[in-house]
Amino acid sequence: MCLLAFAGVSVAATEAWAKPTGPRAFCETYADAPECMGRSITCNKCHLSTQPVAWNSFGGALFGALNGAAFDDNIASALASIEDDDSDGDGLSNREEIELGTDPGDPLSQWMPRPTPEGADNPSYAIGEYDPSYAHKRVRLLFCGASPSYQEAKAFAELDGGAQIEAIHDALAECLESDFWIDEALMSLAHPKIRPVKALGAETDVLISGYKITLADYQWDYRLWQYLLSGDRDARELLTAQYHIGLDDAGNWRKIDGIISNPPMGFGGGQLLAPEYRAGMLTTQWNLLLNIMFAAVPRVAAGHAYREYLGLDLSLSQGVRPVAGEPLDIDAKGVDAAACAQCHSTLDPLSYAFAYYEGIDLKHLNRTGQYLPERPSERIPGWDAAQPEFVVLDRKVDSLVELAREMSQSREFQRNLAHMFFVYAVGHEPLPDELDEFDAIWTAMPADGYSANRLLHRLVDTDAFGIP
Amino acid sequence: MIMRTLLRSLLPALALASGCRDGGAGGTEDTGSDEVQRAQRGELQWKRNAALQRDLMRALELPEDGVCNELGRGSCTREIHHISLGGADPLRIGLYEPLPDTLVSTPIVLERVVMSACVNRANLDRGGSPVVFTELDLGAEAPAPDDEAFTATITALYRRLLSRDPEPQELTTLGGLAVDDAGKPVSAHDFAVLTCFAIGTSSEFLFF
Repeated sequence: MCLLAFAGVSVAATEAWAKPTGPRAFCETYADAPECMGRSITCNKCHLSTQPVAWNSFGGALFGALNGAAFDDNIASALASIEDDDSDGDGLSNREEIELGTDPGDPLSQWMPRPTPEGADNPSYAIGEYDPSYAHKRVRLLFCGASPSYQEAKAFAELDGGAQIEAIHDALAECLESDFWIDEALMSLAHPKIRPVKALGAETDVLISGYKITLADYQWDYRLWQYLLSGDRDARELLTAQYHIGLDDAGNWRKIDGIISNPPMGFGGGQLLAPEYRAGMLTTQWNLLLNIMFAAVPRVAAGHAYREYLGLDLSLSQGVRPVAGEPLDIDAKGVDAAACAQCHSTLDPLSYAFAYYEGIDLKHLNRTGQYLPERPSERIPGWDAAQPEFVVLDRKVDSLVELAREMSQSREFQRNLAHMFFVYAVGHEPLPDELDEFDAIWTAMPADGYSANRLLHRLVDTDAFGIP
Repeated sequence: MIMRTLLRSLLPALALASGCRDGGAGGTEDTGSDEVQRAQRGELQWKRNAALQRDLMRALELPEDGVCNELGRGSCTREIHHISLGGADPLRIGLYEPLPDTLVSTPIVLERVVMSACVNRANLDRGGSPVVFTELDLGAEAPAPDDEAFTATITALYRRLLSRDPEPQELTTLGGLAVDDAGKPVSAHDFAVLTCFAIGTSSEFLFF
């Protein structure tokens, strides 16, 4: 039956298109599925390829169940009708695979439960259960940067069970204030988000007539990141902060609210953007310089923000949430072609909000990172006529500041932050038997005041962290 | 001389390096029902460049530039071999995230770093007031395995590097590093470096 359906699909493939609304519809039907909670669903749930379109066996079965009916109106019933089938023939029904988090259209996508421990008691580790000594060592190494000493390990071993757990959290609290965590580990987690380039930053050794070619200073970005992910601060301000973090004479952090001028003998290096147009990490001078550069419609800046702060990589077809009528192809780049429109119907409505911010204007280098109300009209011929709407995560917004606020309050933001720390601490993506506790961590962020420190305290209590 | 002695002792040293504290059980071979319980998850992480450097600094009481410096040009763990050791390098080569897995060169570099740290510590202890090898006369021969200085030295290294005391069979295994091919004692300096290296390159030290 599956083969027949798939064969039928293959024949029909040239006449059909992938449906960008599919992932959203899937998660409306299976809101508690791992793909819709701790992970990001992609088109691969049903497709082998979206351009040219081709389905896997589950997608083929779904296509058959739709039987030509309108996609958006009938997707839920079509999904329900094939729940008990085993589309990929791997022994689990589609429903079982969806609940487990494996792919119902890929027979090689499987999850084997971990084996029950066998043999004599292990003298070194508590196999199959949370091992406080193991967790303690991991805490010290990951967050303090070095193993516990012999004396520390011995003192820990002499504690009873409850006191050991308390000691783990005491150690973690101490480590989270350490130079290693703040200046080394947290900074390293920021590299993919900030993407520093020494030749353009404050440490550049490129000089022209004694003029230092600093176009922007990414140390502002690093400091804001470190500040907000330490000290129990609200991590949402990564996307909403309208201040910056400088250093006082003693080298301590200092909050700066107003405009910060560029240092002398540099094209950039300050924060010239008026505070009311700021949106945390998204509007630092460095981020706008690097990700907008010369673009009229800053799609790279939008895609980067979507990927790094929501964990949704459109190039991997994650987070596809098409906006009706988009893409407008407002700058005549051809993004309304079928192969492009699947992602640009999500990306372009995000990008428009960045169009008011200057990347690099070679005639006016001091404009980098500034808000210019006339910029879209000047740079995009079709802007005024089209009057594009800004949309993020299915919500219409009026500005980048509002867009960033919507992002910061989203489940995706919480999940992405928790995911970054989970992978750092545990060493891999959450596996099917770890997803429940991973979901418990990130969904607790609102109750924890969006504190990264409190998230980490929850993380070290998990089986994923503490079971050898 | 050091490497020759080490190679001769490779097999027992590897038994130590397996990190097993029960006489070999828990290795890769299925030895049947007498085996102790194996890790359910088996998902240990490796100490990447920063943790490796800091743990060696802590254990051997070395300054940051005293762990490993490549030909005087830069830190092995921070500047020269940091990629092999699982570090990132955003500024120089645009590597924003560490590589997910070890490279072919990683084991060699790990050994190079640990060996350097051990040699530096032994040299410092020989040239001044000893800190780690306090029970050895580093200008004399290595102590015999039944000598108190032998046990004290191994115990000190286990406590510093692995944060625990050695098991009796581990003391026996490391006894092989106190003598050369002919069964004659090696120098105490060589013994200090060899034992430090063997313990510092064990999987118990390198993984967590």
